[in-house]
Amino acid sequence: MSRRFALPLLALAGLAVPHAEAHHSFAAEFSYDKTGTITGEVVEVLFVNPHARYFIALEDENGKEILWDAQTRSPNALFGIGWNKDTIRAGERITIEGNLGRDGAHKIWIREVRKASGEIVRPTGEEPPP
Amino acid sequence: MSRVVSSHRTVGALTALAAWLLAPLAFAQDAQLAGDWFLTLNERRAVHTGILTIERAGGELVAFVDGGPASLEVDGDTVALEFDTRDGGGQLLAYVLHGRFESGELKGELTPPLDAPKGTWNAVRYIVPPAAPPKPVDFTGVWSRTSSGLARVTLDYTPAAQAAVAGYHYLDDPALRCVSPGLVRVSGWPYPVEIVQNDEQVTILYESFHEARRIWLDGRPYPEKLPHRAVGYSLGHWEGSTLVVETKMLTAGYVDLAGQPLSESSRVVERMSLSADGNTMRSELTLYDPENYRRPITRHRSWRREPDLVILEYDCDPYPFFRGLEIEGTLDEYWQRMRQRQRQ
Repeated sequence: MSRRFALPLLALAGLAVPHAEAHHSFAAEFSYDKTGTITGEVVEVLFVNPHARYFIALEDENGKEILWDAQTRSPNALFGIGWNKDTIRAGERITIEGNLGRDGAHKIWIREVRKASGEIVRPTGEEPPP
Repeated sequence: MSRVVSSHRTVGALTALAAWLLAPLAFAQDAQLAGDWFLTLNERRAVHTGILTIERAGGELVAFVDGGPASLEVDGDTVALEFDTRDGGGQLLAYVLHGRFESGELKGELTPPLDAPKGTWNAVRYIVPPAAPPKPVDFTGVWSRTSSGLARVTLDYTPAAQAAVAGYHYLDDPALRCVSPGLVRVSGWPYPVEIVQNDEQVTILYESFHEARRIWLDGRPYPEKLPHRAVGYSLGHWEGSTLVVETKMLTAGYVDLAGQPLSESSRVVERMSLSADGNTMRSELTLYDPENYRRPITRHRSWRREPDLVILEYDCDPYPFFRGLEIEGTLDEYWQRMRQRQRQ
């Protein structure tokens, strides 16, 4: 287990393998092949099991708010790589790159978050195979 | 023309004769392959074990791995095995094994899923340990999971189970709304466990879902009036240094991510042991659920001792699950599905 060490997030870049990150329903909810990027304002932070989740407000061409559901690994797995409930906070404007939801659902499995400051965080790290 | 036909006949007759003469050999080889094998898959990053069962059915050899069907091809002393597995997110994958039967063992090359580097595999006769007087060992400590077994997806379903799997939707997974997914799944979840024990009781504290299991060693019977629970009611005894745990009184639930059902009348047997150095814990879990499966299902788990690890809170909140459905516009559909499920 890597959770004892607070490793710098960037040091783990590039190790991402989506299949090792979830322990349920990834395949049912997200596409392995189709990735994308969204930019918006974090409106709700739910740093809880089973998956840490961020609801992101985007705007369509008419200025109407569209909410996206961004998910990532469990809080305990993220804790091990130095990602905690304050890493991404409500009110921040962020860009998320990740696996898109199936059938056009407004969901994204976070592979990378770019913050307004330019800082990049990734939910990567070692986890035993399923 | 007649010569050709006659030559075909001759060939046909010779083939039949050869088949008749060779049949005992084939049968002898079947007899050598038939039975239970302890299967070890050596991947670069992990070792997983399971049980391979080869049986004769309708004049052919058929194979099962951990209770789920596997495809088997035998040609002389070479064997090819293929069976499904899944990744951590539920994606269906396959293990492909090629090898040969040699001096009473099977061994060869392993092609793991997802372009992982090739590994090796072997299978030796599965031997049921002989009865031994109790010689308890101490599992006390914190453990991190290193393998949850072969994660078979397709199992040997009864028609009822087949229908249940076909009607499953991933939103039916209770874990998504923070409800414990039950003993079989929780015991293989990728979070640490803490074990405390004395002569009367072994207690397993799972980080996952805050589940706590009390395994009673004091010879009590199953209670008559307690409700079932997700991790059931467990009675244990020592067979040599192996802790044998039987669990009944489980709530109905699922065996794995594909919605493989688990009935209330299920019985689970776990055989837990320690490595010689005390730093590896292994468990062979066997699920007997004849309502749903025509043969027992096995899962081999292993854990590593972690002296410095502490169990964290399993801080689970169903709010984002329902909020997510609301955002997606599928919340009403979900309520309807819940209603249907309760009528099943």
